[in-house]
Amino acid sequence: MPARAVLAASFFMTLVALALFIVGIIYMVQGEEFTSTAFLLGALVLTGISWVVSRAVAAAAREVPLVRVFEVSTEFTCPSCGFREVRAFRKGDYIFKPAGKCPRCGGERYISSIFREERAPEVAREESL
Amino acid sequence: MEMAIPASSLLGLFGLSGDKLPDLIASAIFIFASMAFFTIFGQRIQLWMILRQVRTSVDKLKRMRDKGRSMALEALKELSSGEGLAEKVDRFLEHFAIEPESMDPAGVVWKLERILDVRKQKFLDEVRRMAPEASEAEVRNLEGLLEAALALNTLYKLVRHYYLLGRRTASFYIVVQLQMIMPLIMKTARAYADALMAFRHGQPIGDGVGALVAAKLMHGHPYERLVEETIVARVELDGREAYVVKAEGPGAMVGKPGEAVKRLLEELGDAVKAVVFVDATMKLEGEKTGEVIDGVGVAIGGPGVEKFKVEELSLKHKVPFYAVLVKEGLSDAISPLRKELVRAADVAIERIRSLLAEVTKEGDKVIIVGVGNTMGIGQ
Repeated sequence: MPARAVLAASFFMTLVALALFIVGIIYMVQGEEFTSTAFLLGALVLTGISWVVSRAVAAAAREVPLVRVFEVSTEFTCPSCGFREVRAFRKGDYIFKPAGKCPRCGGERYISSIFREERAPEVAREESL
Repeated sequence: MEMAIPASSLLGLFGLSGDKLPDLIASAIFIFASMAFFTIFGQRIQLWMILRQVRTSVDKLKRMRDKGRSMALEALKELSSGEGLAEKVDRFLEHFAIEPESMDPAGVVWKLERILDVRKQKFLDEVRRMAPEASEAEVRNLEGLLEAALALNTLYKLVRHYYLLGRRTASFYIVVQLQMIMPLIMKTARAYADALMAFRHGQPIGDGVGALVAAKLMHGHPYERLVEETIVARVELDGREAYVVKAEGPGAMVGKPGEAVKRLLEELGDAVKAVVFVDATMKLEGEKTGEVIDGVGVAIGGPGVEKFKVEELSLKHKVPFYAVLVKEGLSDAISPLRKELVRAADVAIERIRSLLAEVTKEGDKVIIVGVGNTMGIGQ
């Protein structure tokens, strides 16, 4: 079941729990102790289930794989004409490694950079207090 | 004559009727029993909850350790026959080094250096035996991979020790201390886990930003090996004669920057007008990754041996030491180089130039040292 559907179900359970709570209070005011207790207990159980479910979904969303695999790129530069090219990193690449002829001018290229880019860049540069 | 006061009239004082007495007694018993239960067992319940929480982290650490071991094993299998490799890796992961005695601290740095040298040599020889087909750069990278796996193993065993000790002795204070430092331990473990893949593929890491700066400065110039694993190139930089030092790449090496500076200062003497160290530094929470700062002092991390060598010389030669540092988090330092750090290397070069323009004149001799792991960075 997708996380969004689970969260929707959890939200629905919270709404039902709220309704049961209100009905329970009405019965309590009317003096029907047994019925009100039943409704209030029902509300409590539903709230508990909803909390556990939403917590599990949130924990699963926060879960990071044991070993993160980063998308690393290799950048080639031709010092003669400035032509640049980026491709995925391959084993054996290293910065300043000669990388054959430039497809534009035929000059000698080299690997000028190897880097990874974060998928979600830091938006807030300074964390608010 | 004694007057008996009926219970019903006493209850009446509180507005209760006689038929409510059993309810009242039951409520009082319930309240007192609850209070007694939580007073006696409250801390045990808390202990149980904390132990459960720590147990989750211990399990995660174990999975990280196992992953590190299996990655190291896979990498080694690619470069060897694979016979008895699992036992050799397991033995490697249990390796330790005993620090020298420091009751009499005089000369302890040299003893520590000797131990670290022997440790490194032993590790490299073990890797060469495990992967005889590996090139020198691959041997260095594999050694880094095994070191990361070893660090994960040590972290796991240490945390498990305190977890089991706390559980066995039911000591609330042992368990609480462990719970308090768990987020920091997990952060460190996460950083080592991130390092595994980088070392597996020989990708440049954040710690190498200093080496990258030096590599950019010396690229295209002839260089020579100055001391073990460390090279130097003479570069003309804005009219200054700059001796650029870095570890010899592209294998995972940090070299001996302190020894290199010592050798250069002995060779060039008082002609050297400034020594600039470029290194990565740990950023504080809330600070920006890739921010470049400068200051004074010897910026060489690690156990302190290399830093000590250079600091000793400062009294003899009176040469000023400057440091240009690039800020990054622990995880960034040992995971593949972030784009912000690549950009920061160019900013650091500009900072070095402006610093040299302020503190030296044209024609002066200066030493620029790119400190850090040079994995994935040539020259």
